[in-house]
Amino acid sequence: MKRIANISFIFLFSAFLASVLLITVWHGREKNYSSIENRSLEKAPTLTGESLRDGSWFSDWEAYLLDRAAGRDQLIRQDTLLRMNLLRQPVVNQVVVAENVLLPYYPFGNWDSVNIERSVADVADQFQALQAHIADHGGQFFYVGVPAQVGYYADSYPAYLEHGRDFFPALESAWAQALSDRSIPYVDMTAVYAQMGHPSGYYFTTDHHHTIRGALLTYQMLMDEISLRTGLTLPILREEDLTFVTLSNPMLGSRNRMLYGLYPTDEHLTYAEATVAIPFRRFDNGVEVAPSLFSLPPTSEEPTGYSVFMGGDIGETIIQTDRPELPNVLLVGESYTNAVETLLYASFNETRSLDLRFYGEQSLQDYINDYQPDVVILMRDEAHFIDYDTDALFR
Amino acid sequence: MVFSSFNFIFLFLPALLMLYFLIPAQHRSVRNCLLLAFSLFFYGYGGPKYLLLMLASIAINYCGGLLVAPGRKHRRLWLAATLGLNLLLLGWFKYANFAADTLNAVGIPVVRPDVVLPIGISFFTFQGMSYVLDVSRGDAQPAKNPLHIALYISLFPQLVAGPIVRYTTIAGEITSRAESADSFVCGCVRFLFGLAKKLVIANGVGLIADAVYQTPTDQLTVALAWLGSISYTLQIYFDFSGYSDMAIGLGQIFGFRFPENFRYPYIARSLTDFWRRWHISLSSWFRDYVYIPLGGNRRGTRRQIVNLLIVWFLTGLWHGAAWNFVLWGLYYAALLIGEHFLWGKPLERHPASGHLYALFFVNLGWVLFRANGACHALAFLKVMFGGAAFTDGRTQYYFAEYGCVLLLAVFACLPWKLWIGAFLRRRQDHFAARVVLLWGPRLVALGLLALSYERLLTSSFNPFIYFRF
Repeated sequence: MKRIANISFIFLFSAFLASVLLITVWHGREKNYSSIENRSLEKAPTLTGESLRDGSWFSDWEAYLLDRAAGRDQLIRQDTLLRMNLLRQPVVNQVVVAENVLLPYYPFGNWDSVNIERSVADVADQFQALQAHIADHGGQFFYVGVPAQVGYYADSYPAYLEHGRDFFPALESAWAQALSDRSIPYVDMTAVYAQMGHPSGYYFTTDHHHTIRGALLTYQMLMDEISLRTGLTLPILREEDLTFVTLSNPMLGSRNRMLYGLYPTDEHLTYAEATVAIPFRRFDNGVEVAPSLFSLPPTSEEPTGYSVFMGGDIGETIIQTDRPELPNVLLVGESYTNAVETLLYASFNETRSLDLRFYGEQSLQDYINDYQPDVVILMRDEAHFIDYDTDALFR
Repeated sequence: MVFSSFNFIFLFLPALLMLYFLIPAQHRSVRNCLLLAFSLFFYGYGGPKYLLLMLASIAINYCGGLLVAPGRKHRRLWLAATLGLNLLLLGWFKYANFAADTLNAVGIPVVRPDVVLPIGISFFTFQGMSYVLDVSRGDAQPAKNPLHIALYISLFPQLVAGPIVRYTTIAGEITSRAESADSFVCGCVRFLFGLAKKLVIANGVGLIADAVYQTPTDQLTVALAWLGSISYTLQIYFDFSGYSDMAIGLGQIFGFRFPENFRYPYIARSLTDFWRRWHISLSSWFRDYVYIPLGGNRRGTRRQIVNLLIVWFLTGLWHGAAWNFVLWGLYYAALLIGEHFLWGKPLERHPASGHLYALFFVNLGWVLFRANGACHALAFLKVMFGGAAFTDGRTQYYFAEYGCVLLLAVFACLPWKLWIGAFLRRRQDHFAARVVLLWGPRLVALGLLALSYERLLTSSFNPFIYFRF
């Protein structure tokens, strides 16, 4: 019996090692991207004298093979399921699994409340310089602050987790004061939502963006501010001008994606189209593309997400409506702008949108020099009021 | 290279196993050459520059062994020279920065050499020295074949984290050992248990320990500091003993029998008992090569105390080039001296109290060991004993997040293997007991392999909200 046990063990042990290696090597070659992790997988290392000497060539192979290891996605998926449903861990794959909402996890000690005033002043000074630059070219600058998910659902965090409960109110107040001191027009959506009591429907529960309702409210508050400050009479889309369409597709929000879509949710994505169509041409990164504001899934079963709005994050998008009587606008920001763009274009002759994470052709100042927009809007979420690379804006 | 890596488990080990067992057993020297080549590759994997250092260590000890054997001329001189060279290498690579920092701290300006510590130098230097000392005492025959010494010093299973193997233990096995299906399977099972200890338990509780020890002490609470210290107490045991299990298992696969390094240290009933169970190969090294040559307990109480202080000072320093390690060594010296002369007997009469006492002081000792310097250790201990608020949300979070792995770790400290084995062996006349004894460890080991693989992969999970190129 011992002989059988030994042979069985050796067979199973060898089979496991061999099959993992073969599957990893064979199938791994085709994999370059992880949709769940939202990142490129590690590339095969290049052999150089230096990489051999410092040992990085071998360690980089470790990272390459681990990224492509046999059954990796399936095993991590099972692990996620186990931790979420059986172990009931409060934080799974860097996501706080709270009641009815998925939130970002921040490690303890993440928030530096002591230096808020100084950080705010430093960044606000740069925006003041930007405002002067825009004014020199005949434009007007507006800053839009939108809540981050951590702020919008602050009350949904378990009490024992740190999520900037004290930090964000202090930051919001200091930020509003700093912009006011510098006469920078500020549309403060964090205050608007706070006054409204953070109602449901304006912010996704399984994604880190505002919904179309949130984007519409932001757009309307912004347009009201622009009209007030510039004295222009601009067409503004109201709810009655829009047709709301809710996709039946399952929603795979950015947070739920990190959980392999295992978090049960009945959330669906809604977008809004102008009932009376406004013809336009669209250019992405200088190339004319189909005149569409939404990237809809090909079937009703395919999971969908926030990238429906404008087709996701793009370095430069230009929407031309050929209405020269209206002003031109430049909108600068990250993904929060995507949903707003699907409404904003209706109020301007030409709408340009820059996502400086992906756009690197020229500096923002040079872009303004060349384009000379009538209105420049900078939209940021509160988690990035002061915590981001300002070089990307001002270099 | 570390054992708990994809490269080791799925590339290095299968390649070595395949080539090794393709070579007929009668070609022992070819098998040894293959093991040596793979061992040198294993060491050079993280950057080959320190291979030269290892080769130098091998050369020094090989020549030293030939020159210090009984009957050789000037053998005492050669012994001193060989030991001196070994200590010089260890001293330079491990302690030069520490010495410079200490001198600078007391106002004697010296240039810090910024020497990088080569992996495993403490282990292979001690192995080399033990060989030379054993030869000089006549306990071992000097090796004529330099490849034997090279293999002894560089043998990859015990190269970077022990156990510290004496030459006398494996000298015979280098030239004649019997690999068998039985030893192969037992070795694999042992390796897989060690792998799971490292990947499933040590890495799990290590997350708490790392987070707590990285927290500035003015932000710690009493409960959090205790949680962090207990987590580290568990982490270091499962990390180190897991590594030893893997080393012993790998040795067994290739026909070597390495000494045991851990015997359930957290069930110890005193600190003396703890040190008979913890890092046994190091304790016995210091006993045989330092404590006993210094006179041990044979020259009166005062000399014994001095000897204990010397041994524990060196033990602390061996573990790391920083004052908190020295403090940790002297802490044990004080406790063991106290136990030996004062409170040892009463402890023996109350095993339960002895057990709690041992756990308490071992846990405090690991604070000295893990802290980032002596000042950090003292500040951390102050918090543990009431120098802060009692608790906050972090403790609750860590319990909620890692409670299961903490429980598993505490559970796994107990000698279940011994208990279950003894239980089954008493019932060997039952067929079921024999089946469980035979198949149980093998099946559990395969299950642990799958679990370890899963832990290895999940550790590489790295999601981003925004796409990362």
